[in-house]
Amino acid sequence: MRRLFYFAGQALSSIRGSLGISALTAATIAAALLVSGFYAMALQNLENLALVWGRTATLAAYLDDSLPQSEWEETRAAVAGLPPVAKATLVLPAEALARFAARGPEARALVADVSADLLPAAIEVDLRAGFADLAVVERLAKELAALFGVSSVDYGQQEFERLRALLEVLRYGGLGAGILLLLATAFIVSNTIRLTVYARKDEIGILRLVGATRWFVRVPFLMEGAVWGLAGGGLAAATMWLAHLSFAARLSVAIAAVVGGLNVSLFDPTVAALVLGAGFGLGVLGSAFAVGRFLDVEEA
Amino acid sequence: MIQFFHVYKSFGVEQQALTDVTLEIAKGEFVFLTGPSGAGKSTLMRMIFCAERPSRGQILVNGRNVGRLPGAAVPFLRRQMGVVFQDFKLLPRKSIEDNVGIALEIADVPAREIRRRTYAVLKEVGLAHKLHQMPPRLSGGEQQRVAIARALVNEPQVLLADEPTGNLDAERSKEIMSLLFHANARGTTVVVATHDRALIEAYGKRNIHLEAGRVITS
Repeated sequence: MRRLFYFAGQALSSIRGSLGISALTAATIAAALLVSGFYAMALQNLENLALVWGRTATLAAYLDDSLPQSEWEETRAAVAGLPPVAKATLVLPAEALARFAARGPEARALVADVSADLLPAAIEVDLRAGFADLAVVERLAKELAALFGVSSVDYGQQEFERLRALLEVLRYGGLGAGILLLLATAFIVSNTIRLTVYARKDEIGILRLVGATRWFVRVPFLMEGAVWGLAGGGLAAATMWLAHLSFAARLSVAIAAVVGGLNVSLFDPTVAALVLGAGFGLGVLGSAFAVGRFLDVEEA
Repeated sequence: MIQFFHVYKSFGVEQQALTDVTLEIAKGEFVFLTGPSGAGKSTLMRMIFCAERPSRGQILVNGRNVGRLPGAAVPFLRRQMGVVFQDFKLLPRKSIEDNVGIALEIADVPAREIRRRTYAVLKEVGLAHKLHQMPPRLSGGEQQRVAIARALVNEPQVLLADEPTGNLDAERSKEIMSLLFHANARGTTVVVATHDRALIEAYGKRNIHLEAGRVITS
């Protein structure tokens, strides 16, 4: 225990003795982690966007022209009976034409000579709140399309596909990018720490000469690395928190016109804990590698 | 205490630092290691405390073959030795007390004992009143005395001094040599590498003379 206090004392005294370099190292770690942290938050927000989209999605099942009008209500009832469906509304061709015309003068002019008979009848579907999920929307669309009398289903497939493709890229591509980002971060952090260790390589040499084991030399540096890492991780988490307080609400308002109901978040306690943990790990590992190189040099 | 058997040391293909060195230094002996610059004095010293390994041959220190010592055992060998360098090799950001006490801290000596022994050895070298000063504030002679105090605080069996007076004037050199003789008088084997002939002639101790990596006289 006494030795542990000794090492901690050495680490703190070293940090006090080189506050500038320590601050630079912590800032480097913070900057690197901030990129990863915001990346994680971007992914989380897009996942939420998919959820919100699913929640607000309206499906429209178009009825086949050959389906007699007497069976439309029966089909609507079948749709309404499906578990995720909160409400199924039959939209008659004349009503659909009137809705289109109501969009504006240009739309009205466009359908001025169009007969309502040319449009198919449709069933509009609202989902239950508990089923607000992109996957459920897709599954339901398939079920609807398979129903007798339904010719096609529209649920904004194109937008969904784009969002899903983006999420796939971010999830799986993000895994690769995340690994690369982590390696790049580890490289930058290790090099920054190596500079600070290099400044003390004579000290390491002297300690080895008077009989210090590798661990005796290494432990204070590891503790120093842990402090830098935690400080950097803390700084990154704090920056995310501040960004959340300053911009999240404004961003939510700004995108409300495109996607209503999405609360943009730039801070998450789990992500913050991961950032802090990653900072600790990077600081300790960066120090271990950096000191290791000089210990090897000093080894006879 | 220290035995070299047909020791060779080369750095790369062309640079032969030591050639067929065979010598023996007895326990409690005081020996000068002399020769011109590049004769191999420092290399020979560094091999004793395992900073260099022999290319060929055997080196025994206190009966242990240091050439074959595993890396993890080297620190424990060094704790039985004191080493003094021309450039003092003090930790500039630590006080005099910490510089000397570090050798004991490494050996896991209790804190109170570290304080007691550090004070005693600093008193012996005449620097007890500068316990809390930092090395850069001391003169060259004082810094070398701190280095000697650090080398002696572990009560080593062997004290190696590589050009310990190289940076000092005649008066300070005499003080340093006096401390080394004092350690030797208490039973420590002392090896001093120097190219200062005046020093060797003044003290009349055994002289191992090296030239171009070979022992000329021992």
